[in-house]
Amino acid sequence: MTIAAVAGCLVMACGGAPKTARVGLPTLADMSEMSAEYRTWLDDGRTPSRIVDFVLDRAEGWTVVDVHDPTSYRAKPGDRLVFVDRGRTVIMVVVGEQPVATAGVRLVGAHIDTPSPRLSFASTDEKNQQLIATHRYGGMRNHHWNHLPVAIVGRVAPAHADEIDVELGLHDDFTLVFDDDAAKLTLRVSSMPSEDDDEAGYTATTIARELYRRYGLVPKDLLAAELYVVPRHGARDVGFDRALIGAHGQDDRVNSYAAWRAIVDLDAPPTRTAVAWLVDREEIGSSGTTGARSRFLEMVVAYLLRAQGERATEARLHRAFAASQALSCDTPAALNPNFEEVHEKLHAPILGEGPALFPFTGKRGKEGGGSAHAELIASVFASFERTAAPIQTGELGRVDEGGGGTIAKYLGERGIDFVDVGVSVVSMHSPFEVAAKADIWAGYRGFRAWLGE
Amino acid sequence: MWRTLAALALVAGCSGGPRPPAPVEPAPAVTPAPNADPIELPPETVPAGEGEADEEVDPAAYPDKKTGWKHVDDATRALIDAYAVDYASFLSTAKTPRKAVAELLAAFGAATYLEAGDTPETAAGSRLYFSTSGGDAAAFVVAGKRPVEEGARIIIAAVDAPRIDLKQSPIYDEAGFAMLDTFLYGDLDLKSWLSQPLALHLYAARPGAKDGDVDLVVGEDPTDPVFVIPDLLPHLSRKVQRRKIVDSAERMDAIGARTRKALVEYLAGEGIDEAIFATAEASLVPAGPAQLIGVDRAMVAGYGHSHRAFAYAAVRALAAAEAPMHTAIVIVISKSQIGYTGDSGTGFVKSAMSRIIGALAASGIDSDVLDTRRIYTRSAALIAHRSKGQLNDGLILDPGSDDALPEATRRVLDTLDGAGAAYQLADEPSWGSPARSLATLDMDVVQIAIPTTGHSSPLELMSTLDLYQAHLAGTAWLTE
Repeated sequence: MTIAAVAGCLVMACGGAPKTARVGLPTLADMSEMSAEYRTWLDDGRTPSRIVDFVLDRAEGWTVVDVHDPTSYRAKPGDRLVFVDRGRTVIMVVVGEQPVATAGVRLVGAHIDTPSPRLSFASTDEKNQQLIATHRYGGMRNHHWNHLPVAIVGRVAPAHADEIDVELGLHDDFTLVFDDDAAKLTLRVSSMPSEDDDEAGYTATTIARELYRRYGLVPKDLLAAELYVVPRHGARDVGFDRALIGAHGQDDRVNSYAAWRAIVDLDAPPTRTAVAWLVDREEIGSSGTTGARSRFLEMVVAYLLRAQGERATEARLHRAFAASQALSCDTPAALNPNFEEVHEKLHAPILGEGPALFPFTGKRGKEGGGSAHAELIASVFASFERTAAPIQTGELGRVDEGGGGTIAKYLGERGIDFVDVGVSVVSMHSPFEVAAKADIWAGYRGFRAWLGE
Repeated sequence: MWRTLAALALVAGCSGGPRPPAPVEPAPAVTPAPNADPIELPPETVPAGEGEADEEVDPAAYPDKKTGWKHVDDATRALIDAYAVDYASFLSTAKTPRKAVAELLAAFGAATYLEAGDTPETAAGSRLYFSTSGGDAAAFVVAGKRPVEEGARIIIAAVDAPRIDLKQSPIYDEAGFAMLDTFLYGDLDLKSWLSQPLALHLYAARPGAKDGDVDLVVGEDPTDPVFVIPDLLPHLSRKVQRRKIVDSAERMDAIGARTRKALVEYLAGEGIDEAIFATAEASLVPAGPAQLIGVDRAMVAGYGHSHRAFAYAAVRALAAAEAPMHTAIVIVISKSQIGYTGDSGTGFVKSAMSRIIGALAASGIDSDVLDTRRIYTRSAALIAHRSKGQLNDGLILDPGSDDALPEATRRVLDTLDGAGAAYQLADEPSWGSPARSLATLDMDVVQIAIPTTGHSSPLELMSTLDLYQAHLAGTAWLTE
């Protein structure tokens, strides 16, 4: 229902012929062009919904489809479809030569959410507006945020109106900081207290007044809000040689970028239908209506089955999934030069030596993770080799040092054969994660080769 | 001491007197007099609030604490805002002691350089300055209408801040990076420097070189690359960072480039090579400018606030002083983060005072020791050093940090009251005050500070209201 509004694009049932000439974004020419576009992806895409906007803004040549649309669309190889759910997750499809029902799909999945503080207006009233409480979204560390200029970006659902985009301090002549208390992250939004208003000869500019002035929002509107606190700074080149990029949110906007660009740049119709899923809510366990555990993927594959003349039954859906393969493109932690002892030095990914493929994930005997099949691993290596993109294998950290998960197992639960492979970063889950341009370039080319086979 | 000052006041009617004339506007502070009628508390049997009204303490007997935004009218707010914007621009440029001194020199305006041993002709309003050869400490002087023998008004503030220096041969390969080996300058809150974009400021003297000295800045321009000290991800930090996030300064090395080869090529493009680090002052500091904070734009966040703010206020006040009653001096120093050592620490205050007195005293450099020392006893100084206090509650006076005498403290209180500058007293004395050492010059020294949060982190925060109080106080102290 909100899809059309969010998309800002014409929703149409499409039966057009496969495009012969390229429409829309030109194919990436080289690594420096990619780096520039990637920095824009990071700077504009501060939240999942803004990434979705970024994708839709560049969807010329793609058909934005409502998965609930009952029209009798007939898919043809090479058709390019975009599905959006709730403005926060997007699935892009390039229809392949072979039917989805029997050949399944080749899917790259990456998440577009990232750990950061989220504002809570629950305890804010008209007398208490200098400091606003936050809670944590995902595995973030307070000490990274205490001394950093930050801004507010997100969405609010006002009473009796559509969701609106809200932004404060990102492109203004002011910004915000957290209070100097590492135990809890409390955002300082003003110096002046609001309770002095009546007796004083000045008018305090409080956050409530500012939000009202800009967006017409009243305090009770803010009770239904998804407001992320993000660093004011945008993406920067790192190092004298500018071979690295530093920014917040590269886990996993680095791999979602590579996945998005890979499917956009598929020139010929692939053998098997190519799918890129940019998914929300990974950092809090892939839960919710927009995470990898939602039924959005089922809906889209069912839509494709129907569009190829199949009946979209539960059994056929399972058969399609069983024939499918997926890359879970999440961000591994590269070897940290200042903390090498937490890594398995011989097996940790080295930044700049290509995306890392994880034959297994999980902790303590691969528990809670996955262990990929050899055939799929071989196909990934072959694709990267074909496009001369470097790839390495890796594991997260020393045995029993800790662990983490990805969306991979939720793909696996659907019966899809999967493996984790992704561009890695150092300083993961910090406001300034560092990735290597060469790795992103390799990831983009490798994913594209694998999808396009 | 009291007698000296009293005698001086009789002779010269000057700044040092124990009771300056009460300012007319705003109302003078009321000093609780020790001999006033004793305050009688109501008998315990009388419930609170039901005592006789005429026995209540006169509210005027309490300190007149006009702090906070509610006393600020629109006209003052405009002055505060304008001052904050100027100050933020200074802070954005003054990223190293050397650059801070250069900025302050520019703010001071036209002045005569005073060589040691010079005795220039000085009239009231004459402006002099000099700096250390390292450029990280300087003195600024405006001659008063009264001779320097009657004492001077002085403000001392540091311009250095915690930072991360590079070692002399800093580049090494590790984990797929060309790393920069660092050592720390000052007492840093180490964990807060992790995962922050950092800029490199490199200065190297090249005597005789045709290209001149090297002054390389990488990371301040928004299009520059930056540097970063990586942190661990939470997934793997559970054991190694359990007790302390950074357990060793050896964890503080920064990513310099992907490859050493590329790094060296970059340096070659700048006309330098790796060997430059052996002789350079090379520091990593937080990248980017100071920022106005809050929807009311009524705070300033930036790097290196806690000392530089007062140095800026003092030099700006001095720049505006035309011909103060007494000779006004601002001395900016460095090495505050490492104990005020060296020729640019508190030692510079002592040598600077000698040079200034030698230049301004009637008998010049031939002044008798007793005459010279008397100038110190007739002078009074404020020294900026960090203290704990509340934002928006005004300047922090910290006489406890060196146990300043009540009389010295009273003189400062009266000046602040006269200027309408808000202040608070430090709850607990700060540690390591340079006032302790400077008071041994026989000069009254009182420690003062601007409330700051985030001390020694890459981003310190101050209220623009408090910053403006430093401007008021500096102006009054140097020119009254």
